[in-house]
Amino acid sequence: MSGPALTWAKLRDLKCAELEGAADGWGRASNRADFARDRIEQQLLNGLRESEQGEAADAAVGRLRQLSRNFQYIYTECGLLRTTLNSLAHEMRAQQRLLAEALEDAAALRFTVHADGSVTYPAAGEGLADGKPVVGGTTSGGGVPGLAAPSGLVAPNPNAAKAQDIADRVVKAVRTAAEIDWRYARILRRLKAEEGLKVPDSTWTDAAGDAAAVRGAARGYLKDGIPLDASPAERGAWWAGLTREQREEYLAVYPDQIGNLDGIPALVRDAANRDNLQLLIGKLEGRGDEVSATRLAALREIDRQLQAVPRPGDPPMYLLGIGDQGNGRAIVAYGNPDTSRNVAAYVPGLNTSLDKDFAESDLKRARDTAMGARKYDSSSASIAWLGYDAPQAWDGVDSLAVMGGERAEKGGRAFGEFISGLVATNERSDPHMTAIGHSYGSRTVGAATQQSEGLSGVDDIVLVGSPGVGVDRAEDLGVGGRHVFVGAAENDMVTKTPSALQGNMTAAAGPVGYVVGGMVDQGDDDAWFGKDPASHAFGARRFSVSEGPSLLSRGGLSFDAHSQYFDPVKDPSSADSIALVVSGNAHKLKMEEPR
Amino acid sequence: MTVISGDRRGSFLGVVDRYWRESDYEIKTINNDGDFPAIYAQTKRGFGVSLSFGGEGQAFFEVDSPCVEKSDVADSTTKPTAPSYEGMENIPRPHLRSDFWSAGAP
Repeated sequence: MSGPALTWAKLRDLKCAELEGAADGWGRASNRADFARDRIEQQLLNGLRESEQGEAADAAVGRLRQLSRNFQYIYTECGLLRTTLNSLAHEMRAQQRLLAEALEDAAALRFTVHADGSVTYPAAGEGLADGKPVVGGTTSGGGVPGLAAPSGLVAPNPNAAKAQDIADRVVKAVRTAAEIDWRYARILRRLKAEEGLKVPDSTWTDAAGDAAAVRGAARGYLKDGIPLDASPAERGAWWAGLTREQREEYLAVYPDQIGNLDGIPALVRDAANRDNLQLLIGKLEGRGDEVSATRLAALREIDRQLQAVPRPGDPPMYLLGIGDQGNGRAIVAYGNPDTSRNVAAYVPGLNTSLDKDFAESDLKRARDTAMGARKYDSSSASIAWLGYDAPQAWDGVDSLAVMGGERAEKGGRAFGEFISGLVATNERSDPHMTAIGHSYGSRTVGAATQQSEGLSGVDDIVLVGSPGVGVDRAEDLGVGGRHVFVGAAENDMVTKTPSALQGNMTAAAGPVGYVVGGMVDQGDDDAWFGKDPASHAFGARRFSVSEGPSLLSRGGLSFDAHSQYFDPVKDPSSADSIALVVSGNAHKLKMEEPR
Repeated sequence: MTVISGDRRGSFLGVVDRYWRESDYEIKTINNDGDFPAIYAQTKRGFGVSLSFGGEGQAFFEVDSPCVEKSDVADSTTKPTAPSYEGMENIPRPHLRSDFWSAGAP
C-alpha cells in the first residue's frame, strides 16, 4: 500500500480478505516446511542412523540435519509472515469499520464527503436576524479547528458541528490506517532471509528479532486472547476451543507463551518449546557475555538430547518449558505426562540454574526416576522442573541461612500451578502424582503445599537431601504423613541440623565455619527450615539410602553425599525406593527406622 | 525372558542371597516385599550388585563398578541373543514359561 498517500476511498476499497488469503498461503507454506522437517527427523535421520555407519553416513546425517534446520527456519518465518498479514488485515478492518460508520452518518445527513476528506453540509437552523436557515458550508477534519471562534452574534448552523465530527473521524481513520500501513511495511521488510540456501546462526539470531517484531505488532490481534490469568483448567478449555488455524498462529508467534503455559497439553508445549529452543539459541548466539554462554551450553545440551535417537526402553523426552528469565527455566519430561498413570515432578534446589550441569545432572535425575518407575509400572513419567530461581551461592550450605524461604514461597506458587496444569491435562481417570523435592527444592515443595489450595492432585511427596520444608510435621504437607517419604544420607551436610553442621564444618574447614545465632535447638532435631524431615518428630517415612562419601574426602571438601539419591548406580536402593513411591507402590517399600 | 512366579521369587532370591553371602558380599539393603523383593549388596572391591523384581515378575540383575570416571563407551558389537526390541519405548515384560520358575504364575 505504499506509494501515493492513502485516501479514504482507498481505505474503503481495501480488500482485507486478499491479505488474509495471502496469509493462508504463507500458513500452508509454513505447514509444509514443518511437515518436511518432521519427515527428515522422524524417517530419514532415524532410518539412516539405524542402518548405516561410516563417514558417508555421518556426512549425510550432518547435511540432513542442516536441511531440517532450514525447514524449521522456513516454518518459523512463513508462520510469522502469516500472522503479520492476518494482524495487518485485522487492524485495517477496524479502521475500515470506523470509516464506514462515518460515511454512513454522512449519507444519513445528506452530507457530501469529498475526495480530500472535507465534508459539505446543507443549510439548516435559523439565522438570528432573519430566521432563515443558516447557509451550508464545507469543513475538513483534522486541521486546526475554529480559527474564528463563533461569536455569540452568529447563529451556528447545527450541521456544522456534525460535519466537523464526521470529517474528523474520516481523517482519523485514514491517518491511523496510514500509520498501520507504515508499521507493517517495516515488519514485512524485515522478514527476509539471507540470499542462498544457508541458514547461518546470524539468521537465527535475526529470526528471534523477527518474532519479537511480529509480536509487537500482533499484540492486539493474538496475545490478548491468551488467558494468562485463568486457571490451568480454563486455559486447557480455551486451547481446546481454538480452530486449527488459530493454534498454528499462536504456536508460530508465541511459542514461549504457549510452551510455558500450564494447562496446555504436553505435546503442544513440547512442539512450541522445540521451536522456542531454536529461537533462544539464536538469540543467545548473538551475545558474547558469560551468562549467555552458560545458558547457551545448557540449551545446546538439551537440544542434543532431544535430537538423540531413543534406544529400546528409553522414555521419550518432552520439553514442557524453556526460557532465559531469571536464572533460566527448563522443564523436561521423560515419558508423556498426559497419558501416563504415574507422574512425578522433581524440584531441584541449591545452586541450580540453567547451565550445563543442570542439563546433564538434573535431567538425568528425572530420567533415572522415570526409568526406575517404569521398572514397576510402565505407565510412568517423570519431570525435572526448573521453574523458579533457586538460591545461588558458592557455599551452598551457607546460602541457606541467607536466602530464607522467600524463593521457596515464590517457586512454590509456580510449582503449584504447574501441578494443577498436569492434573488438568492428564487423560487418565486415576492419575497418581508425586512431588519430589531435592535440597532447597524440598523447601519449595513444602511452600507449595501451604498455599490456599495446597498441592491438590499430589498423592505422595518425596523429600531428599532436605534442609527442612518449612513445616514441623509431615502431616502438615496435606497428603497424610504416611505419604511423605524422606531420604537423608548420613554424610549429607545439608540435611544436618545447623548446630551439628556448625561443629562439623568448623572441624572440617576451620575458618569456613560460621555462627548461626539463635538457631541452635535443644532437641537437636531442628533443620534450617522447621523440623528435620528425617527426625522422628517430623513423622515421615524414611527410606534407606547409602551414607555417601564423607564430607572430608581425598579431594578436599565433598558434597557428593548430597547428590546421589536418584542415582541407580551410586545408590540403587535409594533410586528404587523413589521409583516404588513414584510408581504408586509405596506400600511395597520396606522402610528404614527414623533417625 | 522367563516368568518368575510370585511363589518362586523368594527361592530365587534365596539362592542368590546365599551365594553372595558365601562370597563375602556385604548385604546393604533388602526390600522385604512379596511382589517386589530386592537385595542390594556390595563386593569387597566396591562393586555394587543388586537383584530386584519389577512389574509382572520381571527380574533385574545389575552390577556397577566403583570409582569409574564418566567416559564414552562404544556400543557392544556382539549380536544380542534375544530380541533387541528396536524402536520400542517399553521392553515387553517376561513371557517365557518355565515349569519350575513360572509355577503358579497367572
